[in-house]
Amino acid sequence: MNKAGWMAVIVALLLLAGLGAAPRAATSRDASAASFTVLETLIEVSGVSGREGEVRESILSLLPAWARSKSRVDRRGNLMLQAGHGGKRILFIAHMDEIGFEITGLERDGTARVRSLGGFFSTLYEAHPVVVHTAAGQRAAVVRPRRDYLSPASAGRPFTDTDVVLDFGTANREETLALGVSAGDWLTVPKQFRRLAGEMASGRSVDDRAGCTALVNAVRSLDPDRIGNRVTFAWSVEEETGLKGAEFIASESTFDVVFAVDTFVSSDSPLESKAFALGILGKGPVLRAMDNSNLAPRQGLSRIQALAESRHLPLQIGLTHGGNDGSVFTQYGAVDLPLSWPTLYSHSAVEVIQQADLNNLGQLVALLAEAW
Amino acid sequence: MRRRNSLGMLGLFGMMLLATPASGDDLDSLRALVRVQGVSGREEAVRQVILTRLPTGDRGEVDNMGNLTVTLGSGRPLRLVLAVLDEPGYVVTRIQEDGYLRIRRLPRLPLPPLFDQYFVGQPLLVESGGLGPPINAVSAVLSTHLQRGRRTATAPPSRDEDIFVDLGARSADQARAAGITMLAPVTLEKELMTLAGTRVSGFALDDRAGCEALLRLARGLDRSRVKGQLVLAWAAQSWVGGRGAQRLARRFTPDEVIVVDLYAPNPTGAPPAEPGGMLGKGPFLASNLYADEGTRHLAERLRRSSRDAEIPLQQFQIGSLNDGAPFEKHPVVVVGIPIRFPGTPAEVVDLGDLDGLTDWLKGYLEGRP
Repeated sequence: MNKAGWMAVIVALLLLAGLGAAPRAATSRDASAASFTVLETLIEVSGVSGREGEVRESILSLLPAWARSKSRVDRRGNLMLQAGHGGKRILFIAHMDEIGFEITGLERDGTARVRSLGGFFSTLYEAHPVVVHTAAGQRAAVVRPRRDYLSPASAGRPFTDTDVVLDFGTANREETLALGVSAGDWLTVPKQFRRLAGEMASGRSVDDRAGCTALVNAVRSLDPDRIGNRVTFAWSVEEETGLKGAEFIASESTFDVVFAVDTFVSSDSPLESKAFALGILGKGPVLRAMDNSNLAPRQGLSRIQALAESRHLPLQIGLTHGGNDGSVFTQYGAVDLPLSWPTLYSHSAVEVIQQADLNNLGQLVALLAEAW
Repeated sequence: MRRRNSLGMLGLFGMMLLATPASGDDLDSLRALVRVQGVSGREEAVRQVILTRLPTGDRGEVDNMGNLTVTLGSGRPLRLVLAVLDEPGYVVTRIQEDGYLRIRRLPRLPLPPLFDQYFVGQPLLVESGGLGPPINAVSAVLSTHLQRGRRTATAPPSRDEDIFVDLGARSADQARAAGITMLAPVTLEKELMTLAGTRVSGFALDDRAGCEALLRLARGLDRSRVKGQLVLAWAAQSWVGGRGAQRLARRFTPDEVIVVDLYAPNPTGAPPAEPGGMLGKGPFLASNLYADEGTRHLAERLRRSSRDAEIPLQQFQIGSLNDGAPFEKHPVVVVGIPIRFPGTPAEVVDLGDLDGLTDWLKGYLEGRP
């Protein structure tokens, strides 16, 4: 072949390489974007602890057909998916529920009193609109500002869940009942997923719909025939009010390793001390090595790090506050290795997450399911 | 589509704008007015919503202060009906090297002591430096989990200078590339919520409900019945000292002035049974404690008009005319509708009161019966 011929071949190969590279890059971006698409779907449904039905239905609708056919809902409300045979018994668990309030009673003047489901600052709800979820559908209400809110003296006082008074615009209890509102109904902030700059996004219930998303994305990418371990994916209930869904699973089944996929509450914010919990947004998933419920064994952490490195997946390691679903399994002999992504402003209406972190977390879950 | 023509200069910055056909129902209109940003001095978006909904051919005039006026008819009497365009909000005062924004609240007038707190940990909108839609952002807030054991766990930032705005950028260059500019307005992401019956809630209903009342007058008045000249004025920069109204007082020499405002009749210090007045009991007419004879006569004519139309009125006395103050040498009254929880994102009004207000003013201005 002459020089011109070789040049033609080289150009053709370069073109082919370029054509080949372009779809790969696009695929990576698409996968990353898909993470936020799934997260958006899951954030814009509501489900406080014990009322996760709508979230569960959304997750099921996002699973591939093979996974839907293998899924079941246990007696507690956990959504369970088992795949693979033999090998180790591995559990990936993320919780479906979110924090919020539950109505405890209606007052004669038509307002309602509440109790909190989960821990958060009630102050963030003061004088803001909320959505009340009733059997008759959603109803709008506002949380009244503290009674003397125009007085300078009022500002120094805390505002707790006992100060929360729901105003539906009604004049008496009968009018509120006529809206379909009753004790036991529950409420959230108006749920909306908002994209920010820097491939970040914000919304209420990033904790733990992002964990749910990571599991969904992992399942979507897995070939069930190639899973060498006995892997269970669980979307659990009532984590925010005491890990109750996880406890039920732990009492029913035995696992060797549990990967709890939940928020790494990060101090990567100008308001927080950077002394600990400094998971940087955009620097990858986080191994939640220590928290208030669990100290992950070093050997397991090292193995995750080695596997992630083999696939060039970025990974951070750190300590933060809070508990995780996996901790209840340790009493039954399992090892709890919590996986996370860094989130800002935990349990507020504006939790923030970075897209690549979520995408990489989904890939890490899939990798561990295949290769652990 | 609205035609927007610069027909001439009014003062240094003034312009005239032609309106297009009115469209949409009244709740759509009020919803649009609540949603848009309109901090003091940057009321363009609110004016745009109003202009879009004015009857075809109405000429909107914008003066150097940002006031929007529509003049109907000519001659005397000259009656001026005024509502406020702007809302209390913030502007960007610094773009930090780490991409976070610092902000300053524009109104330094008395607001609820926790006004800044209502913006913490909430979704915000920052005006884009370009022509695009506002930019999504959030205000930073302490993470619940990280405050355990800290004595300051629930202590809110008490001042605007303590607020950090996070738009997702992690460098100043990234923030600028997203469209952030110095002094860009920052507001809550606002929405009109429909409560029970005829109640609605949303931040800046004070005074977007007043803006809506004037818009309904522009669209609903039988103009053949309006005597003399009627000026509908949407005043800018009210929250920074009533500057728009002051400018209007120099532009016009009215025979009577009607300020349309929202009002909580029960002042601070004496918590009422229902904060913000009696919603659903009709519009109000507020009498100035120190009213002169001309004002008393104007108030009486308005009372008679409400009686004739069988529209119930709530009446009380006030010590300050707010945006009516620059007109105190003329007959001037404040009318409007009660509001609950004023100065908060949970402001509530009754649409029945708004209907009553509009019908009342329409009847009065048309000289009915």
